[in-house]
Amino acid sequence: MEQTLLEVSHLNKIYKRKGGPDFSAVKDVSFTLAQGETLGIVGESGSGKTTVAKMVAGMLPATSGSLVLNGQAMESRRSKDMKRNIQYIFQDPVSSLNPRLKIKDILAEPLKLYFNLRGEALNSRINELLDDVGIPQSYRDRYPKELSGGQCQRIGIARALAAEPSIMVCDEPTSALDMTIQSQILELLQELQRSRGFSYIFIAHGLEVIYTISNRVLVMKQGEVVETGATAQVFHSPEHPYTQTLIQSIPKIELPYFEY
Amino acid sequence: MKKRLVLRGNWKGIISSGLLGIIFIVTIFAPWFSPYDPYQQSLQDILISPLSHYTSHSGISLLGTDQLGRDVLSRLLYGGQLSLWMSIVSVLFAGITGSAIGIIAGYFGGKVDAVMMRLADIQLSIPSMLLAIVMVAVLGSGLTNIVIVLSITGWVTFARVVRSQVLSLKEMEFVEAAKAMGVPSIVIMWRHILPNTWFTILTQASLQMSRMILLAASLSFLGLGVDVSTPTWGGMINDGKSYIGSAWWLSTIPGLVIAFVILTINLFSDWLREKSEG
Repeated sequence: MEQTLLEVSHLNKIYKRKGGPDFSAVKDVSFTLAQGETLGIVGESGSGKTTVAKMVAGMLPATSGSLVLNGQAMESRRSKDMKRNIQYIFQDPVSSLNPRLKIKDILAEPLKLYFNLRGEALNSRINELLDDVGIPQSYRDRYPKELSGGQCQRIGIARALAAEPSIMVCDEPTSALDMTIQSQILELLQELQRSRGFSYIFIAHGLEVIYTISNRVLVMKQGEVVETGATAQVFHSPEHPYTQTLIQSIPKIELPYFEY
Repeated sequence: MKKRLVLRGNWKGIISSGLLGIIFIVTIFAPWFSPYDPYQQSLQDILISPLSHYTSHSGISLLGTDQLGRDVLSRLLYGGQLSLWMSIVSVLFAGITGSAIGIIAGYFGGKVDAVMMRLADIQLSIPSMLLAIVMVAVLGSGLTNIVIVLSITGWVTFARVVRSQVLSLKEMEFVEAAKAMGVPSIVIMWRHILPNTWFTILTQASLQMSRMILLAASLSFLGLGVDVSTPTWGGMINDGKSYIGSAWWLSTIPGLVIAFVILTINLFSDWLREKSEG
């Protein structure tokens, strides 16, 4: 068993509602994440996947529960280093990039913020990052609207990479892209994991995406974890009826039969 | 082919910026363009109609003279200098403070937002003309005070429009990303929010500018503007109103000029708005 990097226990998120019962978006979610592991989170829309991801990334305060990173508890006000250690990749690649900033300025932001890079060091690091995600260096002076969706997502990944995190939270990073681009992005993420040993928390609608990329799977329904286990085990012998229906609902492709 | 497309989509911008350019050049360089001294009085040439000859010298008065024999065209150009300058400076002040307040209120929300927006509501409930008159009465007239008065009546619109845009901008993922990264709030507002509100601010500024010209003219018309002998568009309309029966050009021409300038500015802001949406 590899070293545990992140330990999430009894995470809750409750929204207060005026004149009605409070709404629990996330109920008592616990999991661990090991170094270099990918944890997939699946579930229908509104099952609380994104809420969990945002609480892990510190973008939403948790109502209760604890998050322990590398043996250190994370408070609601995180240190800069803790923020650096967990980076987020967004679902919509286009709106996650400021349309008024050039690519190089988008990438410079985390580099300046966390590593205080300036001048030539900053420049060469930006070029390295562009190489890492397979974007030509000549794109550094372009604006996001001049890039395709897939390229924008690569820039989003480069921005996360710039912080040199140990955990990347990917919130449906491929769902806004078409099939061929999807697989390229997934390959890029896997390759980065092999070379740098990131841990991923990976959210996706598409079960086939989760199947290809994750080591372990967390199945969520209405804010609760209904099943968890190794990917192969969950997919091939699902125990919870909800998981069974999820897996049965994967569309099977039947190629039409042509007679010549 | 491509050139014609550019022209077709931007005719408003091309026409209005061209006209505005001409207006600005002619008024800024009024000493070069005006045919006579705007302060030169001539009792022999009182109220001569447009396109008639002077009796005191051999020149032609293109737009007539006023009750003191001063050339209307010259006064119009000099007056434009002052009217435009006042409105530009006050729009600048109003725009900077209003946008800053709007961004801060929209970004932080909560109590900060509530306090600032109630302040705006209070001011909005008082008609700006009334407020301006009261303030001029308290502060006294004069160029600086007029600019202060105009700026104070103008910031609210900027604050409200910018705030409403910031409310939608701060939900965008790139702002969320910057927040999650731990970028300081002031940097987020400066780098991520302000540049995305530029078009709104600019459109609002041009609309406000026409409002300021009108307000400054109204103040001058009421005799609350700058010094009486200094030509301003509003002041000229005011001066001419007693002679409206015998010398129609005194009030009509500055009135038409104000209307024309405002129309041009509105055309320009209309084009800006179209650009920002498309």
